[in-house]
Amino acid sequence: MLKCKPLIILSLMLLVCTTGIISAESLNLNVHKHVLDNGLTLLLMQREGAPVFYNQTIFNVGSANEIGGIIGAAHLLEHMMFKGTRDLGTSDWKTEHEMMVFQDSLYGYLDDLNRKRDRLMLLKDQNETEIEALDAKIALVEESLADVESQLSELVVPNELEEVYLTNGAYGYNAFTGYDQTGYIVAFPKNRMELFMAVESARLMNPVFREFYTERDVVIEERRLSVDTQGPSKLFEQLIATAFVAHPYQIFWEWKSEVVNLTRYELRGFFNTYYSPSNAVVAIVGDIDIPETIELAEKYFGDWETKQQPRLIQVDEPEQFGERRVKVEFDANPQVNIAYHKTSFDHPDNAVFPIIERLLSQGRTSRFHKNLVEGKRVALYAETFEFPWGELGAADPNVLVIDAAPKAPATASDLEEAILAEIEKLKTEPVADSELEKIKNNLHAEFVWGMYDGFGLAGRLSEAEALAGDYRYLSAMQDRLASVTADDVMRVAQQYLTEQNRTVAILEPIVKETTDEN
Amino acid sequence: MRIRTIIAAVLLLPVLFAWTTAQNIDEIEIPNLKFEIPATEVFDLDNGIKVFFYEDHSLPVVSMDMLFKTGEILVPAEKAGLAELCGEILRTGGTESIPAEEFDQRLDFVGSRLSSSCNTEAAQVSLRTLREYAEECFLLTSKMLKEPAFSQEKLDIARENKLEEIRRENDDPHTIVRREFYRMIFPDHAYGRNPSSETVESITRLDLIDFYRTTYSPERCVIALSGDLTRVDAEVMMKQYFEGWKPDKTVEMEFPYIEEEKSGLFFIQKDMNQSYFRIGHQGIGRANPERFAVEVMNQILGVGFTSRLTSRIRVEEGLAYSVGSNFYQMDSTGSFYAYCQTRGEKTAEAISLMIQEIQQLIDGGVTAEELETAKNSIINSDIFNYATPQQVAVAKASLDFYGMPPDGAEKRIEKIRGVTRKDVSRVAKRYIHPDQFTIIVVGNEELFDRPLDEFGPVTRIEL
Repeated sequence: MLKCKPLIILSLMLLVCTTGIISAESLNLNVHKHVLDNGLTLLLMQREGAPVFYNQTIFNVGSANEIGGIIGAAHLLEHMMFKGTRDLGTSDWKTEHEMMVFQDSLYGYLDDLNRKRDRLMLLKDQNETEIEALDAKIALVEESLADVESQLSELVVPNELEEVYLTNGAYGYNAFTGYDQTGYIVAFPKNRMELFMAVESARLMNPVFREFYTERDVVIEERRLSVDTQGPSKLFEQLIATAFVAHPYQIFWEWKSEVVNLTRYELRGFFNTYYSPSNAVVAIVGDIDIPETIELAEKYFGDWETKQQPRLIQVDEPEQFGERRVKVEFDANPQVNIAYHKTSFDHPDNAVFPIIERLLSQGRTSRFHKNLVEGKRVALYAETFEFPWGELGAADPNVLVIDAAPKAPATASDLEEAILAEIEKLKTEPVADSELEKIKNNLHAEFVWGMYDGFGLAGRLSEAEALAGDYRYLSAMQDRLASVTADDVMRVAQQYLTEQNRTVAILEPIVKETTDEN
Repeated sequence: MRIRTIIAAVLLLPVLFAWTTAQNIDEIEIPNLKFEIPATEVFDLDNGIKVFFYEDHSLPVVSMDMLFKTGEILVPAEKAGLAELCGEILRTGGTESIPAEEFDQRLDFVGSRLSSSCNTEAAQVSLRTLREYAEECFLLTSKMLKEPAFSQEKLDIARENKLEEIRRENDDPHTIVRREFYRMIFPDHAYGRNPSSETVESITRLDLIDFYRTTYSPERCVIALSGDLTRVDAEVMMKQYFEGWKPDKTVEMEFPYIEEEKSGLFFIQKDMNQSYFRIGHQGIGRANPERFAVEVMNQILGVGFTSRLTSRIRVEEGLAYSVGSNFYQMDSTGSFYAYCQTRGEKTAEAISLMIQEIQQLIDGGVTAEELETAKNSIINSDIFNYATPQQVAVAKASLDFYGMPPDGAEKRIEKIRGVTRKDVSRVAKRYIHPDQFTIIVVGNEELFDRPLDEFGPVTRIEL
């Protein structure tokens, strides 16, 4: 290690030289912020490169805004935003709309009947006649539904919105539902700017929630795919559900029973509350003409009516009094998850956590890699990240998570012990100057590389603006990260990475019954 | 219930009236956009390496990807996994003059990333660095290639990790489906083979050294380089660091004969509420002259929301979140498969719908609208293959690496434009054969809607 010293000095000198070229400040100078009268924020950045533009639009709403009974609304709504408008996706919107209302009432009735039936089935023998009568009703409703749905499918022009986008060269057309934010992304060749504005504004301002019930099934399949059949996700879901007892961050993925009961009407209510221009940020990065882009945005987004500002989440996660542990038995090999409660993005201590995460697990020279994967050889891997995810931090206090898999013969508890020893070291030994310097060099490099990709840049700008109310939070955050000291690391580790503040989740393989005939 | 209906109607009506801004998107003018794939500088090094350089000063960064023609295809079955381990330990095992820890430290300290991997028929070394450390990184990369140490200790750790990964292979149903599919369609071939604990344990340091010396050759290497360097600096640096590297001998790239695939349905019981499956067989190689028509055909069948598989299985039936198809092309052959995951109770229904959609494409061909959508989608989004400087460099280098002409990318677009409905029908009939399908299903048979033997004889695979 000592051999590196001359290089270290050289690198530091070079770093000083370059801060003048790519500083956090230079990013600010290139962003043009424009707010429409209805409150819609545009962040526009012209830059050289291919004749294309990248868009990410953020709504300041996520699954943390759901309350019991409509868990999954933010996510299902995100899916419904792809179903078109009154022009795109239908041959006769008026008739379609009437049919959808009828379909909703039939589904509502059917759901009620099915719930009643489930209850009666608990005492099946005593309720035979009632169940029979219910089944007859259910069959009748299902018949009417099938009729309505076949008529609806005649009216729907499937995927018309996608077709318009794809034939025009849309790239990366997608969306995501976070805990604090929901994002919509797409990129186009530069000559499609007006088309993008026209279609995107129509679908964001006036979406039609067609094909609602099939999409509800799709969202449930997404849960099965991403959580139910994946051991690591099942473990993580329990970690989060255990670490948070009050704050809505406790729900890693919407529960099936909630999604299954969501109605189109509830989704419309959620949309009306949160999808307001004043609650949205549209970032566009690329080969664009800024005045022309603003003009088009005025033309197409200008009529979007401002809705009353939604109220903020007001749940404070209560203080934790003592370690929490949870076990998940699953058909998979052992895994360890540890979570510590930490601060929200705007707390002065928050800048210390990205430093700690990188000290522990970024790269081959990180402490986990050197000491757990190599060294003690107890881990296959050991990673650190924040939940809810995101390099910018979370709107409310979140958790620092360690995810690790033991390497046989080491067990989950061997690995847990080794991880906790590394955490203790943070509290008792100051970080060496060179190690802290390494982290800061990496943060600088990450910041520069963060501008390489158009989606990445549009993403960070819109997310920072939505989270902090100002995209310049990106550069302010760089300054805060750069000023973190070895003392800060030790103090924050001592204060937050404590046993009392910790939740541990362990995945244990199901012991399979062996039918040994011999 | 009636009450709910009325409320819904009343609440939705105002929305209906509030809607005034109907935009006819057909009337929107699309200005002309002339896009030409950017040119790269090309220069040769004395040992046969060809460098494709794209100059770009928009950010103070440099990217380099080196592609090598080597891979697991050159490894005997009893050493399966050797190529992967060699690629990994080339990077982690230090060099003769720089111990592994120092090597890592020098890169990590300045926030530069150097990685190395080796797969079935290609190896890659990738570098991402800030401009001011580019020379230091080129130096480290050249030491790595010219005098790799393949440290025994790093091999031991990598082998242990690989054994742990093998132990965990059946944890994820995606891995099981993929592994079993390739094992069945490429029996006894490197394409379908997987390392086992026995083969991994047998791999020694000498095996790594021998594999590296005889298969990683500058003559079979291209470099894609881009970023904040002048053309002169780029050439001087590439020559300084990567010339003068010559291996003792190089073995020929050979493609072993591929046995006929094992078709039928293969079932793996796993206690899950969703079934994962993959349907397909061998496909086409990268040089197949009909690959353009195949690309358009596959776009219509299974790429994106507008494709037939997604429309039917996801949008209309709500049976899956992720569904689609792929014609994966390799050097001498490839694979075709359609994939999906659906709730256990709909397993047979989903499989039969998928096969039905595929059969319909073969029998009925495609409509003129479908053809236009697919072609426009490919052609109009092609620009995004050149959206970053390194994408430009890699695109050009890859053409050379795969033996395509320098204007191969422009030709591809021309060819796509020329694909007709007839072409699509022809390649669908020629390259998809439902009677030869290999179907892999992982799921819980207790939930299945129907027994799977309707799709052919079922062979059970025990994990």
